[in-house]
Amino acid sequence: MTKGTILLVEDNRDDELLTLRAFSKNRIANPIAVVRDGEEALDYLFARGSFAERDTQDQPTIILLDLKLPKLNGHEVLKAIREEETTKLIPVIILTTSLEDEDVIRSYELGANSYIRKPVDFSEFVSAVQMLGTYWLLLNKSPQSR
Amino acid sequence: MRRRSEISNDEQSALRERILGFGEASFRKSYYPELRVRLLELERFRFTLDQINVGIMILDSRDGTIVDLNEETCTILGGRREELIGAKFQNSSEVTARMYEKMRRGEEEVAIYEEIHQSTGSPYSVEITTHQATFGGEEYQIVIIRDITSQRSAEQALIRTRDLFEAIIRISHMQDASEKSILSSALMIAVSITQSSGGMCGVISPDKRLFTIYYYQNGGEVAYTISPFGKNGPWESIIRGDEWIGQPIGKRLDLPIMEGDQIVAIITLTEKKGRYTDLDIRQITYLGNALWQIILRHRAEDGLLRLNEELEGRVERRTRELEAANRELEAFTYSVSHDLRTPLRAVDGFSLALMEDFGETLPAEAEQYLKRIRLASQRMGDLIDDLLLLSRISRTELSRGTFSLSDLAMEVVAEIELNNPGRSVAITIEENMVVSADRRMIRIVLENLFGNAWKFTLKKEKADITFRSRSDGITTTYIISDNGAGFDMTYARKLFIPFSRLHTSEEFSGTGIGLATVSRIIQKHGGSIRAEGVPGMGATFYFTLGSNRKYPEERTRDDERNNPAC
Repeated sequence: MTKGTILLVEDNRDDELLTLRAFSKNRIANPIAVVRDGEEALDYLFARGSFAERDTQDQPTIILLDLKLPKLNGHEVLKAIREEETTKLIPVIILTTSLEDEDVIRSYELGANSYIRKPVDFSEFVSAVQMLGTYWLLLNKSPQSR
Repeated sequence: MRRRSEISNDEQSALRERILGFGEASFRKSYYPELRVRLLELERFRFTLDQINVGIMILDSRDGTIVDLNEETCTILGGRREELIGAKFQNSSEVTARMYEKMRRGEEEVAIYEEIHQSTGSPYSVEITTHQATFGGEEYQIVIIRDITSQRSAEQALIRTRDLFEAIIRISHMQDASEKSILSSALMIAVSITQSSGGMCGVISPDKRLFTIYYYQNGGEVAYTISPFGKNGPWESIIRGDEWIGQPIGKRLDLPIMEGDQIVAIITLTEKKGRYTDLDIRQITYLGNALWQIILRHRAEDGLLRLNEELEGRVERRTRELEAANRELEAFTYSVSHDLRTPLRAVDGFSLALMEDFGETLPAEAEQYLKRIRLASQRMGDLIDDLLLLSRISRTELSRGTFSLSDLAMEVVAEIELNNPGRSVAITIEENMVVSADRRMIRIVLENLFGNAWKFTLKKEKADITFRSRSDGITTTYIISDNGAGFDMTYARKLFIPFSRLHTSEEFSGTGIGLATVSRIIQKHGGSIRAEGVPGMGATFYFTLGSNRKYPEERTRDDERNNPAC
């Protein structure tokens, strides 16, 4: 398993903790960077603001993006990621509670690679994360390793 | 009666010789009877000339002296014979002077001569014709004068009537014209056809508060003033009906425009060359009435237009309000979809974490409680999902397409069987049921109805579910029946109300929203649904999907979502 960084964009502390738990349950040992809102996510990816020191060559292997975020929402973040040369190929997985048609359609239109609904049942979530890990971290080679 | 000038000099001397030279006897004997006959002839001729209504004049070609004329000429020219004979024709007027010039050049002419009669004040027209004639070796001009006044006025009345009708039609066809331009045009026409030198038109506003007066002087521009009604002095008193109107007063004509017995406007014309005639009164009255109809029509149209604009404005406002309400509702559902579920996930997730990480140290009772917490939060998650589905269906437009209901039912049943293994249920589905409907929505209907049938036959040893159709030629009814728990018909109408359930969740699970959603979908298709049941014996659901006709904009919709990852 490649040990690329997973960027988790999540404003809810409970969800963050549960997501991290689901990762460890599935023995996903990649380093995980957590940012709290859309603006911070873009600062991280484009090495701006408090992340100005970061090396933009070292981009995350996958991005887990919540849709409902303070400041810039998930769709806006996704759009910015796809428009930027250094980030446009990073797989983005939408991780959200919403299953509204518009949200799903818009996410795919903006170039999301996958769309995972966070179910209330945590066990279901753990198996979803397991599939996600298998597919994106194991089988699918990220652009950097190509 | 006989006049020297009527016969030539030769004739005259010959006659004189005969009468004087041959004496009474011979005259009587030889010439007298003939002379007498000739004189009578002349007298008869003279009398006839004086009786006809054509003026005849004989002029001396050399200097235009009037040598003879008949009675009608005296009437036309307005003089006595004694005065007129010996006068010069060319001195009468410019027209006669011009004609005389032509006569001298040997040309014959027909001329129309129009003038205002001094005594009556009305115009008259004559047609003057000249012919050259020679008798007794001398040159004369025979001048024929015909009074064509009535003929001319009939012609003019016809032309005026034509002009009037053309003008009224033109005014009535003026698109988007203001009241001002309509009244201005009408005033100009009134002045022009009556040959007045100017005119005014006063109009009271529909609310009787303002009085607009239009002024027009022939050849100028129409000006107007607006003032409060009741402050316009004597002229306004005409409108109020205090003054005598409707007849020409000297050189002015005031004509009211009536609406019922109310005067609503007045047309005044002034300074016609002659007097105002009956034709003027008739035509201006006609114009006024036609004009008023046009104005009323325009006012009605304006009113309608304003009303329309007002209505459009109101519709727009309502639409904006509705849109705002809709946006709020959408924001609300979106928020419910996200925010209400997030804490539930924490409740469920951390309960599980507790059980997993500390399960060994927890008493069995505590683990039971944690399980209950998890079940409750999952149930609430289901409730939220069902509610969202119901609200989404209410908001979504139908997308109809033709598809096999039988195939869809088999698909749904296969899915249910996959999710609930270990049960043997006999399911019979009629083949080739084809419908025109929203496939995604009908899938939800079948999922619910088959799901219910599956659920409520759980306690039956030999469960039976059938899906078939029945047609009365106009409407097709689809029927899903089972031999499960059934229900008491007393509560049949409660089945389709959200959150109302006929069984406890201990007996059978469910949120109580499924059938409400089904009913909403069927309604959206223009169909209907009803249920029959007998407790312990089973339930049957009957539904229709409205008309069977195909829709022109029919399109099939791919409702399978592509998800490359999961």
